[in-house]
Amino acid sequence: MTTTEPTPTLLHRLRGPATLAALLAAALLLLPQLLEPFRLNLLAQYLCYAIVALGIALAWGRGGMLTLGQGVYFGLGAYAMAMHLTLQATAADPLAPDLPPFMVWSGLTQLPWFWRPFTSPAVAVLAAILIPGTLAALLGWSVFRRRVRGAYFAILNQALAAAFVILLIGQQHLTGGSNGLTNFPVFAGQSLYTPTAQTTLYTLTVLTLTATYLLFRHITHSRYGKLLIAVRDAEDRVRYLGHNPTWIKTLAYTLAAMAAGAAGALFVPIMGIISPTLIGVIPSIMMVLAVAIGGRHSLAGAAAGAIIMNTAQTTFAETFAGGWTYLQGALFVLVIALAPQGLAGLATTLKNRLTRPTPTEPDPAPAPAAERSTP
Amino acid sequence: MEALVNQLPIGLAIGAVLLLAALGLNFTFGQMGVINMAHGELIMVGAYTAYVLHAWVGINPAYSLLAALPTAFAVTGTLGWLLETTLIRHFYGRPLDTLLLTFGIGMILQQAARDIFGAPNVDVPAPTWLTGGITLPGDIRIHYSRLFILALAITCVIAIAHYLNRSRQGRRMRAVIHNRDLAAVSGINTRTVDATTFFIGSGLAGIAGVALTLIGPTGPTLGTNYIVDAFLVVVVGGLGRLSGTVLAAFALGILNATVEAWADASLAKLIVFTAIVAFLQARPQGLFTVKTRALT
Amino acid sequence: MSLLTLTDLTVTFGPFTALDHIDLTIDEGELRFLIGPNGAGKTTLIDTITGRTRPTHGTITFDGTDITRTPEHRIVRHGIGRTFQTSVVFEELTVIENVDLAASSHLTPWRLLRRAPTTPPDALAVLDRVDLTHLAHRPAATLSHGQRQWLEIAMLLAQKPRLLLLDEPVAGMNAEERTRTGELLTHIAHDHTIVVIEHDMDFLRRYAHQVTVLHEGRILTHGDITTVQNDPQVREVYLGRTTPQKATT
Repeated sequence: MTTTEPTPTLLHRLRGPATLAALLAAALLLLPQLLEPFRLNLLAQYLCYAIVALGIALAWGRGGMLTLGQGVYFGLGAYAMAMHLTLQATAADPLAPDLPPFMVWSGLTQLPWFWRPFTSPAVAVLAAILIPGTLAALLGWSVFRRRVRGAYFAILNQALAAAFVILLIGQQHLTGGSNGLTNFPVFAGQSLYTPTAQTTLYTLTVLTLTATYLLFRHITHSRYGKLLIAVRDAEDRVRYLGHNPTWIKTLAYTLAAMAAGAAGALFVPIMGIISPTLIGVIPSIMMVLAVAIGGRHSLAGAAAGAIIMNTAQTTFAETFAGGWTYLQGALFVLVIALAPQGLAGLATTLKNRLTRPTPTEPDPAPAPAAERSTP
Repeated sequence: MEALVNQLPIGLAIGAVLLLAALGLNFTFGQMGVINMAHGELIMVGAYTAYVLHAWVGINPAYSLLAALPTAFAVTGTLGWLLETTLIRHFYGRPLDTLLLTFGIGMILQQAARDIFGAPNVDVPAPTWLTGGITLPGDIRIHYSRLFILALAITCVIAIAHYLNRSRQGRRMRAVIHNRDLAAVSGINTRTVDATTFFIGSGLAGIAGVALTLIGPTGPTLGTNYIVDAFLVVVVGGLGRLSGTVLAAFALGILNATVEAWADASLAKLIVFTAIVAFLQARPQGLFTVKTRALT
Repeated sequence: MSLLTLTDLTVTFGPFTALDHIDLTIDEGELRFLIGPNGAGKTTLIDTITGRTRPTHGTITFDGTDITRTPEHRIVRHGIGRTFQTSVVFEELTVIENVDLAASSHLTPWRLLRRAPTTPPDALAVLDRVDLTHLAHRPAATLSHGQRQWLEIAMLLAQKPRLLLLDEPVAGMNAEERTRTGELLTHIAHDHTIVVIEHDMDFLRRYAHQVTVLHEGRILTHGDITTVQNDPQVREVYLGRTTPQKATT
């Protein structure tokens, strides 16, 4: 039995891990030295969005589920952490009342029941990942089971994001309303305002991003990863292989939500605020745009897309806000129309052109009949 | 039960707005499978058309509303037609891509509105013949403007039904929806039909926009507030059936009104969302479905 | 011993009756051909057995188990596999990955999440059987029409089904590919129960033994190929209306 299985050389196989290690070393050792604290803080924020992007690349790029409501899961993670930090701030300030100030202003006299567990940092961190995961699993399972998919699923996600934001704004006495939650001076007894704390948060974000990337990369290389692609391209056909698409889709959607939740939890101490405007319908679509620009089929491309787009956002939005909106709109149109594989797709094409002048794809022509023998 | 009866007029009023916003989607999404996220911005353009006629052209408020309806239909219809012929037609069969594409177009339209009219909201005064209202038993007050919107929505539905069933163009449209290939070999120019469908769907967004100026201020983000609910109407109604859209719009309107009567308004949206997910458990394809044998 | 039993099976789409009180038994080890003019209900019958269409009335029993309301993927795990008229393979995956996914439906989610082997021996063995081994690591998108049909058969075999339902396996194939498929079919029939929908009369004459004729949702007749061919009723509804040399869809 001879097969045409490509046998990669040792050098070839080591290239991926080597690149990752080099990137990681640069991010952890070099950048904190090179960048001033303000820039490092911004970069840490972008990396949080890169974690969200990895989830979208898994669920949308691989699984075909257009996750138009990732802001919800990001927000749930962010609010879980923000609630904890708010309680910490209240406890740390001897002059402050026993309740977070916005609750006092709203006339509350005691801490709402669902706030209480969040005094514990462990509960906050777990909740930031598990609550988004549980919500996504419930929603995903119930709609995928009934074969609600494609545009319907995308619209449901968007409707969830809209409803979530309205709820956050409306329940001002419980959530801080449209102001959100802010003012987090301490975490675990340490001040969050020192450069050391910010570098630690940055390091933590880099490590979370790397871990998420490695986990999702492993998943895409498993049989499950292939099944996810199969479900994306022909869901009903997968049933006739004896697999149940419901759990296959639900798992990817849940993992994407958990990644977004973790990113939200990291984002809050870095950014210092979380509010409904950061997680609504529009921010959710922006998270998808970043992945579309970076390349929906590539994990690394998606993460890079998030970093690039958010960098551009801060650079351009301040100097010419209106122009930036036009540019973003145009980017949407251009990427979808001309480069559906995003920057990662363009990079691959370019690399193939440069390194190998002959086509690298296997010859698309079917093998001539003469090569075959009858069974 | 009594609460439901009391909320019925309010529910019908909300439903009429939803229906107007969703009617255009019934064409572009329901019949052509294009998720036009710029539909909300077309609604916004319709609203600003009414504003322009009143504030810039200076038409007497008593008539500007009536003048605005056909003008907005023509303006947004033409915009939609331009979008279809230049961009969207290259993306048939890729619904999720059209969603992102048209969202980008929506962003551009929104920013254009901000640059032309400014970010703050503007007001279009309602004609004097629509001020006041009627009081129903149970002390429910319904503004004439709400009644006007209800009447407008019903008129649009009747006109669309008539167009689809009676006119030659409408029958061509239905033929293309049911079997594109067969329609094409029967000598129907499917390109023209697609463009016409998009023109009408987008034009209806303009009419919805004019109607919205009666119940609230007009701003660049006007459409964003309605687009999600409008899409939910189509999801609940099922694809491509006018009756489904009508039924779903009023059902969601009444549900919204009823829930808001006994729960906090900010909770209502989440409750309605949960109700829709529960409804999809029973009818995943919406109220009305078209059976196909295609393998996806 | 009967492997599949359809009792009083009826399927309606609105006012249209696609299957009209069908009673049919397939025995273990049989190679059964299902023929009939367009609209006779052949594909609907396979769709109903595999759970794609639900019957309005009647029951389906497979190996003693009632599978009338079982979800599609469970029916497959019970041991019924099928192919489709227009073959659907996963174009972005390689040929061997396609087969490997078909072979792995019994794995737990946990095992599916482990790194996939590049050359799973089971999948390779099946590919060898349909003679696609030399294309194992090519994307399925690069296959020719005939090769796709064989890949589908390989995916089917990888599921280790007890009953194979093939929907027009030689449609669109050239003469040489037909011969190859016919031989493959005979080969597989040694250790599988197979039901084949086929239009091609030439192919039927060469490879069919037992033939069931469907017409307007009912079973018209049943018997060996010569009996069926000489049946005046069959001639009238089916054979008489088509050229015997080449009848395609």
